[in-house]
Amino acid sequence: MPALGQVAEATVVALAMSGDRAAFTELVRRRQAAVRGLLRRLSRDSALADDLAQLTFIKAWRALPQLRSVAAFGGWLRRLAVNTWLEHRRSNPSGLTTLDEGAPEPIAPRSSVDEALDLDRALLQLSPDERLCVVLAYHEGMSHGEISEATRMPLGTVKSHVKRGAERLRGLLAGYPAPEEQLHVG
Amino acid sequence: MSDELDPVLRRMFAQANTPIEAEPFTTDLVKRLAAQRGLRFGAAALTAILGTVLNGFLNGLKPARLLLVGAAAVTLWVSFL
Repeated sequence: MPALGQVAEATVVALAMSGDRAAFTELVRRRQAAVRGLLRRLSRDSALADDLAQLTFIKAWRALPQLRSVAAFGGWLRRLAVNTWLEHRRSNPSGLTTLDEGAPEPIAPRSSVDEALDLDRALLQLSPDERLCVVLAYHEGMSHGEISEATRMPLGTVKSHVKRGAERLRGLLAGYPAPEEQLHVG
Repeated sequence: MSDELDPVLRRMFAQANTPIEAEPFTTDLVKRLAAQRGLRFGAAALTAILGTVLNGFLNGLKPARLLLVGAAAVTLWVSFL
């Protein structure tokens, strides 16, 4: 029998659904980066993001037997992460990290290493709902419909948050060139 | 309004995706799950022991027998820990 690391995810999910702890640990190993990456982009606090990611996986372990189909695991886990984030926001409305001191200033472009930091700084200028919708659209590649379903926000609200949030981000990161412009640099 | 996304932001989000090491996150989570399982099992076992002793008492078992049933239940619980 091959090691779990070489087994197709559908099989690992099915094993975990039946209560196999080793299979669930393998799923955590495979999916932790995606879940933690999403929560880090939403919170910008990696310790908080990791704590919420742990909660997400604990909920996943408890609810796995109720998962309808092994193929739905990825989307289901992402929805659990979003729900965990929303619950955290509801229970800590004042503890939310948002930079709202004064008018937002445009962020000057720096090296590619700093680009991720600038993106995170700019994301913090958005309202929590805008940030959530923008991150789910751009970081997770979710459609507006999927975001609406995952966040239980009306579709029109999601569209508006993604559009306005992206416009604000572009304004803040105006110094960063478009992909075509970048090709001609150097 | 379509789902069309801004290409600059798409590129920035894609490039901001840095690898995240699985450890110690995975090990910590496994420990946390094991601790929760231990707590849940402990609570269930304690409830069962109390139930057994109470049942014995209600059914008229003498204290010495009650003690014996309780001891057997505790032994069983400890053997599962």
